[in-house]
Amino acid sequence: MKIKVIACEVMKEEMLQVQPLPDQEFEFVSMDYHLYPKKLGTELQDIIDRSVGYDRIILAFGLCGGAANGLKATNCALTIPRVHDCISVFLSSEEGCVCDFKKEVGTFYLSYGWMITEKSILSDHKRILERFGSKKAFRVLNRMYDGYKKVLFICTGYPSQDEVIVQSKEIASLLSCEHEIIEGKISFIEKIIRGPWDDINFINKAPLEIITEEDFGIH
Amino acid sequence: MSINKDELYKKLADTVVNMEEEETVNICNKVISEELDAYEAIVNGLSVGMDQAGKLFDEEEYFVPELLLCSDAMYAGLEVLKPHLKAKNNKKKQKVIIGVVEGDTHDIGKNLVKIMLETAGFDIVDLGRDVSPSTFVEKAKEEKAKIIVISTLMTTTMEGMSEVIEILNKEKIREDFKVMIGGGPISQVYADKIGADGYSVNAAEAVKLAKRLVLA
Repeated sequence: MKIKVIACEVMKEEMLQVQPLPDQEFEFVSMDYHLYPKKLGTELQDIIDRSVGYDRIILAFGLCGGAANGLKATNCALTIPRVHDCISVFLSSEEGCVCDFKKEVGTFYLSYGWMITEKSILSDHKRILERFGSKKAFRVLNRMYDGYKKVLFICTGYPSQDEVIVQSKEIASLLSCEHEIIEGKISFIEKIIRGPWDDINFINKAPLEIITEEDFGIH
Repeated sequence: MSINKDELYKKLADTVVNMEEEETVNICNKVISEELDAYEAIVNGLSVGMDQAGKLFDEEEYFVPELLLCSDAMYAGLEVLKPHLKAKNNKKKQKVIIGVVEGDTHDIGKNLVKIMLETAGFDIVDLGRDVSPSTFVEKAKEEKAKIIVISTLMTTTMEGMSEVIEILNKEKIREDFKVMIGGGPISQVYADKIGADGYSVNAAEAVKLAKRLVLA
């Protein structure tokens, strides 16, 4: 069975640790789309449309701010984890439970892949600091992030994460948040790549069937 | 020589776009000393500047910090002009309740919509973030609001929006309020599905929508 995995760059390093199935190809999508879910949806549909000759396409994404809503494959099966976002993937056990976000209101999640874009907090701060001074820089950052109480770094151990952990601590201190490190798991990432893609943890669509937000439990 | 109004308002808009708070205040002081119309300066200067900043944000030229700095300049100018608004411009403002749904603390988008609605002349009651559906309804009743504006960035909290509408229906007061929704995962389809009166894709569109809804 020929399979294509279309995955978010956020889990690239972790994915590369997993032994792929034979005849499996990967394409990674830039994390820059994270802030623009509608653009991400368009990009994903484009990639799906030009991926021909596969039996199954696996989207290593969640609903991702609505990006997955409306996606379909014309000529092959389409599979996507039944999760809202990658935090659930990193923190899920093999069974793939979804995290209880209600308990974690005010938590700013980071991981190795997340630092690709969230380093921007540091550069945003630097940019304002240079032009407007520290008082203004603090006020702007405070207005953007004062809902957060904790920076939680999900450490999967791949690759060496010392440098990004230091950066995540800098972010925590800029945002006046506590900093915590939690061990992330790659067992669910392994399941995304290798299956089985059971209907509890995954949404499986036949050709031309459309992924909807209802599939993720939104009514 | 009389001052060129249009040029001055354009300059005023530019100071907002360029995040030059002090210069914004200077020009607003000039508007007052030249006895120009404060309302006109808000609509043709400050508000235009914020609109342009919003466009630059959509084009990914500006990021959220820039947008906030533009709004700082806009607010500083507004403080100067507000006391000089003539009575004719002070007609009763339409009241709007705004907030982010329960479970979600992302409020940048909500704050931008609030700023734009405020500049456009609405009277805003900001409930902040992590607001329960029943609080939206209670406050809207208490404040006799015309519009309830609900925002969320997360898909995990979207359903809070439909709960607000369900409560309004249950209390048989749905017709008393217009409900507007927005935020990253929200779409017109979702707005239609839950029976909201409107959805807008960004803050500038939210102003247009709000104006349409209060006229309807």
